[in-house]
Amino acid sequence: MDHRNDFLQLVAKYCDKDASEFTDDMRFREDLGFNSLSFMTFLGDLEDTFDMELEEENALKITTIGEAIEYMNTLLSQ
Amino acid sequence: MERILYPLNVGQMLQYLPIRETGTQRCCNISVFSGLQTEIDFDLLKRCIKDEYRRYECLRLRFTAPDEEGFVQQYIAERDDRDVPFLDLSDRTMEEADAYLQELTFEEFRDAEIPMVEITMVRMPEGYNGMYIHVDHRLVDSSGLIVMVNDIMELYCHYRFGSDYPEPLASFEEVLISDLEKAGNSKRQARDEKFWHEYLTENGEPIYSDVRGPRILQESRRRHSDKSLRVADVETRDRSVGVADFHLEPEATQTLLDFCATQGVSMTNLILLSMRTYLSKMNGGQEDITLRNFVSRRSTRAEWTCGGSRVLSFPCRTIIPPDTEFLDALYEVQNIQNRIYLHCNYDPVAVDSMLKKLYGAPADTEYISMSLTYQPMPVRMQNEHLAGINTRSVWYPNGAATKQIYLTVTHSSNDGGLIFDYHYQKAVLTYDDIQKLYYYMMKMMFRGVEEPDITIGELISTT
Repeated sequence: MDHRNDFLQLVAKYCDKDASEFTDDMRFREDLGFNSLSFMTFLGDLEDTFDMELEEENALKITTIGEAIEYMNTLLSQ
Repeated sequence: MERILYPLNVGQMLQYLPIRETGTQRCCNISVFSGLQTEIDFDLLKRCIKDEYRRYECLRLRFTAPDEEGFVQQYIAERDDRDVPFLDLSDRTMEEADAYLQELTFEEFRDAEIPMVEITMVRMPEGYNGMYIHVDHRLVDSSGLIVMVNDIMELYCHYRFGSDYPEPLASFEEVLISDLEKAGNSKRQARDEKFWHEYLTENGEPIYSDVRGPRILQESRRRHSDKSLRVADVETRDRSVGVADFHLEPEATQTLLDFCATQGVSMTNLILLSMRTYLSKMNGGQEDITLRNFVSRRSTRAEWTCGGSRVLSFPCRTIIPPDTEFLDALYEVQNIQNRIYLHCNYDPVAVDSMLKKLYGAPADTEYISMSLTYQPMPVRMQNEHLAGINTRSVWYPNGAATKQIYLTVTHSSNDGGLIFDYHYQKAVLTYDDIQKLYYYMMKMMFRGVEEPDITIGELISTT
């Protein structure tokens, strides 16, 4: 399963951009327009989509797409 | 075509429960006038409103009669070809016209399986022309209503001036199906339930606070002969509502917005902090304050334009010692709110029941006296053809206060300044109480923004 592609498709549901436009250094808040509520809702969606449980403290430190993918891959490989 | 029946989502259920409890649909009405101070082609506007009934699926929602347990189901009618009525109030004063529309607000949508919205074109005094929208809250919340008004005006500009035809709106039905699937996700439900149980127990029982000071809790303690009671009685007989509106100038609003942007905090949390600090001040420096924050669960693109009622409310409890600096207190509020946001798909009614069950609160009592909803989206009418035209948006209270103080903060469509719209229970509070609350909230917010390292204790004692 291509987690990266599925992940980017999920992000695209939240902003006015196509998944193909995303780059790893894009920041959720500043570049993609996420606010506190949409970011936390996105994290909940992430848990449901990939059937994993995030640690709140670590998840809240995520600022970019690249960091989120790295964190997700770490959790999925455990 | 066979109709498909769906249960209400949690946001709609939150609106429906008061109807079920009070037996009147009135408490679930939203009534708004939205218009422009310019001539409007009403034939064209009628065409746009009829288009909107087709485009905005949620406007065609119908509800079945309640079942044996009092619950209703919903379906989407295939079409709604009603005519759009017209009302001319231009020969009255603005006060008289508003009073007339206010009266219409009390009209109920009584029957099952009927349209739950009525849009009337209105010619108002002082050259304002537009629409009066009377709708059941289960069809739209304030965000949904704003999306609708903007969409109608975009359609109008398309037909009138040739601007681009607006993008389609998301399907209410598709988002509802997704909501119901999420609500049925047992892992998610278990995680949310665990969170809420921990959240409600980690600091023990909350304690009531009131803008009128600690005497309200003390009176309840006497009434219940319980010196340790931490909830206060609620006035349930007289629910008549008072309204107090205050406008914060655009420059001052910008100061707050700039501060929020610089510090990476939201306006919601800044307002929550000012509310809880005022309650703390009025209750002898009480550190443990609980407010109710209304969250509009609109995060994905589809959720923003699908309509429906997506507003949920949860208790926001903060315990902030007086030596905490303003900015740290703000981050504390933000931290609590972020935790709540992660679990805000959970049924808020279940959270309230859990809280009452955990601590055995007596019937008709509350831990919370003040509620907030912050609406960041203005009625934009950003179309270039409408630029510079004065707008008028009036939200008419439905006459039933379900909360002691319910503050709605919005951005003015005319100048972008903040509008603080307080609905309060007239049986227990006066306009002066609310004016004082607003005055101190502003004083505390601006002092904190100016001196972010001031302690909460200092803020309380010097403002």
